[in-house]
Amino acid sequence: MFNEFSDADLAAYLEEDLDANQASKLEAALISNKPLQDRLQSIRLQIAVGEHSLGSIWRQNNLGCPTRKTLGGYLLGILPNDQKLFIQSHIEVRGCLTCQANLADLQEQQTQNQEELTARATRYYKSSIGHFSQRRQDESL
Amino acid sequence: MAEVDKLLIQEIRSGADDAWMRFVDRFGGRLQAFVRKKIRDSATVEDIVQDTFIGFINSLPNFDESRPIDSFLFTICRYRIIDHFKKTGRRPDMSSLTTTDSQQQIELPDAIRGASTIYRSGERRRAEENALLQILQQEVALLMENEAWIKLACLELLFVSSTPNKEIAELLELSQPQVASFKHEFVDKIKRQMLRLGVNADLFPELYPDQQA
Repeated sequence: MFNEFSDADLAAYLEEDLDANQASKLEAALISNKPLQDRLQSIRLQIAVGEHSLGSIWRQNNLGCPTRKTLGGYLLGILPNDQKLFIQSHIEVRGCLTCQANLADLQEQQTQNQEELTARATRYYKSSIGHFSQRRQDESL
Repeated sequence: MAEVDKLLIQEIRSGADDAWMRFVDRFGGRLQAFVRKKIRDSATVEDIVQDTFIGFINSLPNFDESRPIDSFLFTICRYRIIDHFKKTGRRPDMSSLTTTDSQQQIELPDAIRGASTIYRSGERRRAEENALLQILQQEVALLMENEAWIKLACLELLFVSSTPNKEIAELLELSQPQVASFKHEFVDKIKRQMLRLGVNADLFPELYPDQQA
């Protein structure tokens, strides 16, 4: 049962890079599954001492992630079939959270009211501009 | 980094308020969507995005412009999410195991003391990672340039998500021998290149799939 989670899944979980549904399933399984807890602990230690994993280097550096422009093409359905299949696999099977977020944002831009998007940006601007100005005065930008 | 992003960073570094507004407008939506994948409470989501922007301002003097901005921002954001989950007790605390000092004190269980488990200095570790990263970047870029999308999908599923060969074959309409062949070809190529760079491929267990079982 616990083998439903690979070592790659466990490493992604520890680095907050696992899809939320998968993370919830994993947390539920961890409660009563000692071998799974032990595997998670081993991977936690491996990460802590710098054990390399080709998969995590690939994942952490977003290798293969399509550009926003390509994701836009994917949304519009204008990409060649093989590329479309790659992006589908990258987003849905590999579960790339960065590309899922970019895709959700692009969809939101198409559907959400422009005023709401501007209001959101303004909130972020107002909540950070004080810090920005302070750093500018410190000449440390 | 894209030219438009480089210009934006230059303007931000010169202290232009309107450039900062354009920056939060450009990246706020994707960061918010990213955090929403993990956290439902909208106020907490906005707090984490705000902290990410502040973290970016703080890190800007050390920001390497050869790196894509969004990748850098998502990394900061991920750390903010980890901090949030640690504070709320939803995730194991890894912080005590990540400092240089604590690395000297960790007792590893026998299960993970393999040939590849060697204490190495941080500098050496980074050099090994960078060498592998450089090779992987080249290989992935080459596959993209050649539009070898199915092969790229296959390798990503094999190495990043450890998807079983049978499942990959079904998803990508390949035969299982084709999946195995892509894997062996890729592993051989990576090992040869690591040898050329003088990096010990033994350090990466995935390059020795037969020993992993």
